[in-house]
Amino acid sequence: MSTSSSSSKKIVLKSADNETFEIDEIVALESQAIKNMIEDECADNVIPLGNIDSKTLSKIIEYCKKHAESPKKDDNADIDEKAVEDLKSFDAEFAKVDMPLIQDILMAANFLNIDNLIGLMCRTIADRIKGKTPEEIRKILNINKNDLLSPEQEAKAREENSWAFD
Amino acid sequence: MKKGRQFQPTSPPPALHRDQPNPGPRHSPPTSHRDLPFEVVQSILLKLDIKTLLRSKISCKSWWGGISEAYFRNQYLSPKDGILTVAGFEPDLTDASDIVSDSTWIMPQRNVEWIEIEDNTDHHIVHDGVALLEMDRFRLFRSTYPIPIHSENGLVLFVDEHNARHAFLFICNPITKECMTFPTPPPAAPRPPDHSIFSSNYPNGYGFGRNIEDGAYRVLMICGPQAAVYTLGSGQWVINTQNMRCTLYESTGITVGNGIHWLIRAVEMEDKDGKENEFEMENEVDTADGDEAEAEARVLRICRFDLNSQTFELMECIGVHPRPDDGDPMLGVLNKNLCICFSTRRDDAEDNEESHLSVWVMTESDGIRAWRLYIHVQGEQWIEGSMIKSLADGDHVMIGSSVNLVRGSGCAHWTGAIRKILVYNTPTNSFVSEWRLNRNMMGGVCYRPSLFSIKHNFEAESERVFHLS
Repeated sequence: MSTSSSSSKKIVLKSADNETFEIDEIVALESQAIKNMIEDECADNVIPLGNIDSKTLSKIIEYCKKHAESPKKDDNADIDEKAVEDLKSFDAEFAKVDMPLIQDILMAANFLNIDNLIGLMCRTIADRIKGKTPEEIRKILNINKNDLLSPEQEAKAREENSWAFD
Repeated sequence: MKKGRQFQPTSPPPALHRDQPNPGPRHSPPTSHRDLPFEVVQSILLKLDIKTLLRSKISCKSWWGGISEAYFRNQYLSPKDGILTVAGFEPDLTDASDIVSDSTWIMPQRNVEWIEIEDNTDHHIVHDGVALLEMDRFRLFRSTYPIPIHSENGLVLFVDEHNARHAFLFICNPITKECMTFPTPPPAAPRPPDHSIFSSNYPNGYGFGRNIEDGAYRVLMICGPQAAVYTLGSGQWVINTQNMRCTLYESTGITVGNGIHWLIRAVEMEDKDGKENEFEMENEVDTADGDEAEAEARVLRICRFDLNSQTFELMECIGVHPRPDDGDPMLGVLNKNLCICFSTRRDDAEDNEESHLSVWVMTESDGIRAWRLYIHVQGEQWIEGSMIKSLADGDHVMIGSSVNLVRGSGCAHWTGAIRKILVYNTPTNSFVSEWRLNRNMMGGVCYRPSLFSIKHNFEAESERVFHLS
C-alpha cells in the first residue's frame, strides 16, 4: 500500500489538451477519486484526465492546494479562527468566475469526487439564480432552445403557483 | 480488478455526457448546464428557496425532471422559513357593494398566506404575506374558518370548528396544492353524568406532530373525555384508551420535542379499569367570588401527548395564578423549548395599573424539568399572545395582540384586538409590531415550504387526497 503521503511524492495530472501538471501527492489526495486510485495502486505517475481541459484543471489544482494547506477540522478541535476565515474568503474569491467555467469546474469536481468543491460550486450557482425570473435563469445557465418546456406545460406550472412568478 | 492506467473512478459514475449520445471533444462549444449529472443538479436545487425553485422548474426540461422526481420531492425543504397564517380582509362596511342584497355577510376574502422571514445572525427581515392559496376559489373552504394548528415538513394541519357539528380537519401542502380530509372519528363515549365539568364551552384539542423515532405523522383530536389519534398511512382514527379527561385552555396543541402540549384548567385521568389515578380534579375557581387566595390555589398543569409512546402524561407547570382580570396563559415555543406566556395587570406603587407580560421557559435535562422566567416586560401596553419562533439574531416572534392600556377600563381582551406578528427585541426588552396590514389573521404557525406529497407517500390516504386546482 502506498497510502503514506510523504510530502515530497509527486503526482502528474494530464489534461484533455495534453497539458501536464505536477503536484504534491497531498494536494491530489483532496480528490477522493484519485485517493481511491492511489490506495488501489491503480495510479501511475501520470494520471490522464481525458475530460478535463487545462483551464479547468488548473483552477481545481489551485483549490486543492489551498485546501490541502489549511488545517483540517478533524485534526484539531479548536482550529485557528483566522484560518477558517482565510479559507472562506479564498472560496469566495475562487467562485468569482463566469458561469461556463463554474459548470466545468463542477463537472470535473464531481468526476474527481471533491466534496467541498462540489458544494461550493452548487452554492455559487444557487446564489446566482436566487430571486431571478425563469427567463433570467435560462440566460444565466445558458439553456438551449430545444431544452425548453412546452408553452402549455409552462403555463400550467405558472398558474399552479402564480404567487412565485409575481 | 486492476484498471490499468485508464482513470476510472468507481464513484461517482462518470455520467458526464448523459444527454449527449455522441460527446464531441470536451473543450469546444460553450458548456450547457445539460451536462450536469442528475445528482449534482439536485444538490443545487436543494439549496434554492421555494420561489426560486418553482421558477427554476419551468426554466428547462432537465430541471423540471429533477424537481418532479419523487426522491427530490421528499428531500426538499426550503432553506428559508417563516409563518403560515390564514388571513382575510374584513369587508368594508362603508362600501355597500360588500354587503349582498339579502343582508347576509360576504365572507372576508381569505387566503393561506406565507410570511417569509429572512433570518440572519445580525438582523432579520419579515416580509409581507404572500397568498399561497386563495381559499375562496374552492368550494371546500366556503363557509369555513380554518385555523392553522401546526406544520411539519411543509404539511399544515388546519381545523375549523366554528360552523359544523363536527370539527372539520384537513392537512394541506399549500405548494403542491394537495389537500387531505379525514374520515369521521368514532363517536365519543357517552359522558358520565357526574362529570359535568366537561362543559361544551371549553374547546376541543387539536395537535399535529411527527414522531422523531420513526418519522410518523400523527394528528390528535381531544374531544370531551375522548382522544383519538390518526397516524398518516394507517387510514383510520384510533381511540386512545387512557380516557383522558381534560379541560383545555385553548384548542391548539403546541408541538415541541416529541410531544404535543396543551395547558389545562382541570384534569382527571383513569386507567382502563376505570380506577382513578393520583390526579384529582381541580376545583374550578368561581370567579364571582374573586377570592384571591382561592385563585392562587388554581394550579396549572400541562397535558403532554408523547408522539412515540402515544400516551398522555401530566406535567407540573410553574406557579402561574391567573386572576379574573388577567389574560389566559398560553403555551408557545421559545428557543425550541416549551414556554408559557402570561399577561397580567397589576397596580404599581402609585396605584397605577400596569401591564406585565411574563414568558417562562421549560428546559429538560436528565429527565428533570425546570422552568425559568425568560422575558418580563412591563408597561402601559397590554401584550398578549404566544411565542412561536426564535430568530438567529436573538429576537423572538410572537403571534398576538398589543393594545394600549386605558386606565380605569375593564380588561383588554386579546380576542378583541387584531392579531399580528410581534417581535421581541432582546437588547431593548421590548416588542415591535412587524406585520399587520388590514387583515384579520387567524393564528399563525411556523412553516417551511416543501414539495412533500401525501398521495405519493401514503397509500391508505390516497383516496382522501385531492388537488386544489
